Amino acid sequence: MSDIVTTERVTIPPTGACQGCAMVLIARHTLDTLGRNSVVTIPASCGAWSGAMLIDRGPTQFPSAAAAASGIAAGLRAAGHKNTNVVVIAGDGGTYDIGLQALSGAAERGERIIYVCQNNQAYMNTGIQRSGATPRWAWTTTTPVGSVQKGKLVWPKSVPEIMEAHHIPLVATASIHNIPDLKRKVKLAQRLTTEEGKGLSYIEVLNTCPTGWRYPPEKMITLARLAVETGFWPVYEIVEGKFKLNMKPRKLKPLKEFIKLQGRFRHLTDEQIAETEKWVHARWQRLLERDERGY
Amino acid sequence: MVKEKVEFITGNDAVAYAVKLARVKVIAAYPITPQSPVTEKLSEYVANGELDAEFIKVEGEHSCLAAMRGAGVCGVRTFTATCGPGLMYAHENLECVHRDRTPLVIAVPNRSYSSLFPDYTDSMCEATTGFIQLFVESAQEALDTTLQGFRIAEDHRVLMPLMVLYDGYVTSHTGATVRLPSQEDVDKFLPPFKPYVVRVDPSRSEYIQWERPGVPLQEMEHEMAMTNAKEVIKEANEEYAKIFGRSYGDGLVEPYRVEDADVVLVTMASMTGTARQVVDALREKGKNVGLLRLRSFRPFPAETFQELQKKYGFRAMGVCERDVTHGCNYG
Ligand SMILES: Cc1ncc(C[n+]2csc(CCOP(=O)(O)OP(=O)(O)O)c2C)c(N)n1
Ligand code: SF4
Ligand SMILES: [Mg+2]
Repeated sequence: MSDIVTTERVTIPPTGACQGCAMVLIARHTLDTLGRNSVVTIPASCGAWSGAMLIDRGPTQFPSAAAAASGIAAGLRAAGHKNTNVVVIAGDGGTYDIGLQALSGAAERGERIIYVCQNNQAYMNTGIQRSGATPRWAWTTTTPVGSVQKGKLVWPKSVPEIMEAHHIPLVATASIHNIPDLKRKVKLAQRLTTEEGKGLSYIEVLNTCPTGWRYPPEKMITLARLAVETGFWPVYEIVEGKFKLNMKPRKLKPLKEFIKLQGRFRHLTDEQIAETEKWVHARWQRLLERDERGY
Repeated sequence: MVKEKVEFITGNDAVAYAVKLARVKVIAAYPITPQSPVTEKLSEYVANGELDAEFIKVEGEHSCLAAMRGAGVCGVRTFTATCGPGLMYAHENLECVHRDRTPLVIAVPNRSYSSLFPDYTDSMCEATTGFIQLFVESAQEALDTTLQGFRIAEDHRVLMPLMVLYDGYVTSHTGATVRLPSQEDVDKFLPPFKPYVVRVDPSRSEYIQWERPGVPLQEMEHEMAMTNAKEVIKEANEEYAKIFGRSYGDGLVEPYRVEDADVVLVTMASMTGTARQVVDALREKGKNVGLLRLRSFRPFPAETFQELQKKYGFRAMGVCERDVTHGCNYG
């Protein structure tokens, strides 16, 4: 646990984020772990509010973070900097939706990029609109609870699985209630991507966003833990093809415990909660089997 | 004496050759007709070790320009080529390059948006993106202007990105006799890129925050840079002529038989060849006509036109162009 606080900070408080924002922890621990020999690019997202940093930031537009990072990586090599970490910190909108093409292209090209997606399951900085990562039935401002349609009507997609299909050295998920696990994965990414040049590393962290999910900020860590303990957010890693579930509760807690804390799910019926739980459990089962197999 | 070899090559190959001579460090490109041969030729150069560059084979032009921005801020010489739908697809990132103040050079074999043939819908759509736009007439001029382009864009009085525009097929795909300069001579004309500031530099011991002024002041800076560019384009044209013996008017506008002309035609790029013949034919019939070829569309040399008018006293200018903007009675 002594590993949590890094002595050499790259990120400098204060930040411009909301109270109790988990994104700040994600940005801080990613960049502080990687250290000063890093360059980061952050597309339009709440990440833009991560505050001052003691490293250079490269420019990018919202849809093209991974492409911009590809250019930065090439530019740095051409300028003689061979071992600099090139990092992206993007939201789920910039990753699942508008930025997916650039990310897929960069992964296929084997770009040496450490790509961190802070997934808060909607477009938050622009006013809580739905994304490809928004859970089914969740309220957002573009999936309002109307008299005919209530919340998002479709299941979210899974970009970690899409990234796995790119045969990259590291695909991992993480949760902010377990910072040492996140830091370990960031270090792993640094070794595989920056040092060994094996290609793009993809780490996706659930960003429990109090503002968008409609819950009191002091419950941030509780909610992150519950997301994992209910199976809503499985934490796993695929390192050079080897699969491992990193957090394996013996028995999953009822999903209701996670859902009932959040305003975005307030309108859900018992049937909808049960159906979501079924979906969550089916995925959990698949992951347990993979964990057993090891791939 | 300059050492040049003469080859019969296309405009696209001439541009690729210039990129090799310019020792570009990072290239990103995505194929599109009629630009693809540039991408292919540069791929060959890199694959054969003739050009020591990072080549990012991007998955589209939007990403291409994003990658060029990323590489540009690291302070290295960058190049790409695209046209038509590709140029427009890249627009979002294209617009930002001049805000980064990185001297990217783009070759654009002009292509219509709605067909494969050359009109200027593509480049005129991007005329407000802060790029210097030099329209060239021939394969030879495409090579010469690509080399001049890096020098102009990288000049610390300018630091704005630049497009070398030539007509799709007419220039991009038609074989022509082209004089190819030697590496030694080009190295004299175009030394390695010295950035004014390097925005992304992990070796710096102290952290420097990259700050641009607010938008109104930024735009004023860009305007000043574009004004400076007019002089720098002229200088590059002159310096190039000193070494290689070729020049294109004053670099901004190229006049043809304007002495005592009553009327002049204004043209751009490859149509100028035909227009010259028409001028010759009309002159033979005793008509006092001349021609002005506009080379620098951005920055636009309005003063040069005024000076030429004053000097030669022509009464009217007719404009012949390959673009139309609907709803305002003219192109
Ligand atoms: C091309 C383009 N389209 C739309 C936008 C507006 N926009 C900026 S950020 C954003 C959503 C960001 O969502 P996400 O990536 O999830 O980040 P978050 O704000 O949730 O952290 C949108 C729609 C934009 N900047 N650029
Ligand atoms: S909206 Fe959510 S993710 Fe964005 S700054 Fe606020 S708490 Fe953080
Ligand atoms: Mg988001």
